[in-house]
Amino acid sequence: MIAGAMSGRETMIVLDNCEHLLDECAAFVQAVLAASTAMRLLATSREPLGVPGEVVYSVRPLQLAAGDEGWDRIARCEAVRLFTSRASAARPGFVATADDAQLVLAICRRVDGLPLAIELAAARAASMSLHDLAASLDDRFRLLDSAVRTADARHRSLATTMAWSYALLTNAERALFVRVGVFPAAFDLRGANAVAGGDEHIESHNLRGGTALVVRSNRRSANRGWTSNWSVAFLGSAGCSWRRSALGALRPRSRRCRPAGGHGCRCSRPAPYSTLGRADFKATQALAKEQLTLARAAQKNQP
Amino acid sequence: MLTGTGGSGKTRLALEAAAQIAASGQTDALLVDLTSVTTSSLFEDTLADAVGSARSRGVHSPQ
Repeated sequence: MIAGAMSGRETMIVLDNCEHLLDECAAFVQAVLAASTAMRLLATSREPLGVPGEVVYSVRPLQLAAGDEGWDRIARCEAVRLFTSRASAARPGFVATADDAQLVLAICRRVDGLPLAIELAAARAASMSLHDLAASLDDRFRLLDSAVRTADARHRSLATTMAWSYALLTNAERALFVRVGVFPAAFDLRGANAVAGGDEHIESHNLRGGTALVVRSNRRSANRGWTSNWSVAFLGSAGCSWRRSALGALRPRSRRCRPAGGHGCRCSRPAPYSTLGRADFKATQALAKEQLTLARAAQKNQP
Repeated sequence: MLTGTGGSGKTRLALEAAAQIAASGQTDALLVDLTSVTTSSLFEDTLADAVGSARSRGVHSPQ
């Protein structure tokens, strides 16, 4: 069907995020390639499709300098270059110096050199000192490391993603994440809003996919009345702002999510069901439960 | 196939590759984001949508 529809010109189809549809994607790829020589396929997934002729390229984390190297070497490693470039975009005037070398390297190392995590960390550098950012990541990862270590191989990748995305949430987002962790199974928007409490209202989307929560915080200020702040809590693998710009460049016309009021994330279509398999969801749920336990313990210890 | 853990840059690399290929003018690029596609029937709908919208904007029209 696709090959027939697209015949005539060489076309590359990019199948993005195939991991939960490996069988469907494999069948599709084979059918398309059998039907037309003008088709090229590029897929992204945590696992290969396993079809004949597949060329697998493993996307490695960014290169990290060794801690005992000088600032000029550290500043040139891929992870630190990405961090400093994004941090200076987030906070005009931001310049990392030799004095910051170990802090910047520690931040990049804490998130295993993963580009999306580095970008999110760099965005936090707009409102936090490097020292506080490194310390907060350190604290949060100390709690999460055991969850990652104890995950079986199949879930380790997901657990790692969950760990760094959780560690990079703001306090308000983290509180929300902990609250939605009370659900024993998948939950919907209404459910999420029921536990969100406070002055936050969850507008959208992919909740069961654990991809991104777009959170609107309504705050009342003395002189400006009610204002809405939009933020995106990353609970999975999707990054919205860069993806939006990248998608804009390609101008795809697939249906996109349209949060109420026309605000927020437009990076994917709304999904009533999870993109994670049942086992993945259990791993996510286990992490959420652990966060809930930790949060309760922290509450008890507060004076 | 680009494989890697979540956040490793698979999607961005794929989009960059597709954008470069599309910029050459020889090949059309069609993006299908499967993040929120959860069932086989939705998978088919999504592909049909993507192809339909590509056709409607004429990406594969003869030069």
